[in-house]
Amino acid sequence: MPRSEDEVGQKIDRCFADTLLKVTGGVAIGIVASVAFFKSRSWPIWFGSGVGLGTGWSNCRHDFAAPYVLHGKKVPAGQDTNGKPTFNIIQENK
Amino acid sequence: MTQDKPIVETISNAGDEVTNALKQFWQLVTSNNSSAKNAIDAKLVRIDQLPLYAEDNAPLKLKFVPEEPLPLQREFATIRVACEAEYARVAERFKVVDSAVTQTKKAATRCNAYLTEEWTALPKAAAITVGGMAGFVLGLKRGPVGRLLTTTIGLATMAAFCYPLEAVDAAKTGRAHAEQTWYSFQESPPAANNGAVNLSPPK
Repeated sequence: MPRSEDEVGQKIDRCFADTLLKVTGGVAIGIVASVAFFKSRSWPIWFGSGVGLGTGWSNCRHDFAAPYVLHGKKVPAGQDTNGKPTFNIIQENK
Repeated sequence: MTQDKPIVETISNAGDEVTNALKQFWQLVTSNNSSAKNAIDAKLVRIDQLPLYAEDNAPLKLKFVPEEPLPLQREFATIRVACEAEYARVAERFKVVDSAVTQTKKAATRCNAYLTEEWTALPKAAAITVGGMAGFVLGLKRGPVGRLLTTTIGLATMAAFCYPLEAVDAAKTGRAHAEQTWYSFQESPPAANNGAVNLSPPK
């Protein structure tokens, strides 16, 4: 059974990773938009990184506000997350 | 050269075919479909067996598949564990650091709880700040004292609007103090001893 501080730690890790992912995405979109539409000005990059940071912060807040939320999927038994049936292939010993 | 059938015979044959087709159609439509009837018979249930409620249906067996960790999540976990271990080492050596961090965390938690419960605190603070800034802007053309005065008036006015009960209390206390001071001023000081001062040393 995991300790409570480990669970909090996992949430913190998830927050950091999620925020980093979103900031990176925002910066990437900002760079593309800056080059393509805004004559290489720098504000779209800052804007994108700010949006990513805010999104990550909001996700993190929701994650900490709901202590019992589990990240995953409910799938019918015998299927994987893509809806494909799972088989256990047993090799016959001849 | 083959001889064609007479036109009358051709028309007669076509009429027979149409008649047969119509007969077949009518027979199919009016006949009892035995297989469908059997299917309906097989599904006959009593009223109390009707699946009226959702829980009567066999529940779909589900299983929970946890999500894969995000990219770099494991790396962050490694860094966090290392930092925790290092902090524990430092906190054990220097108790004052741990104490300061704990006090700061407690104060931040209390502040956060207060701001969450008293949701009006932040808007009021913003309004008072705006009042002070307005006073500062109005006093820009005055000297430093005037600027300070207008800023104070702006801050006090907005604070009085935001906290009216406290403002009334403060005003009443100030008035009481002023009255007390005025009465003290009005009262003449205690009469000085006009008698001759005995400067001779005690005997």
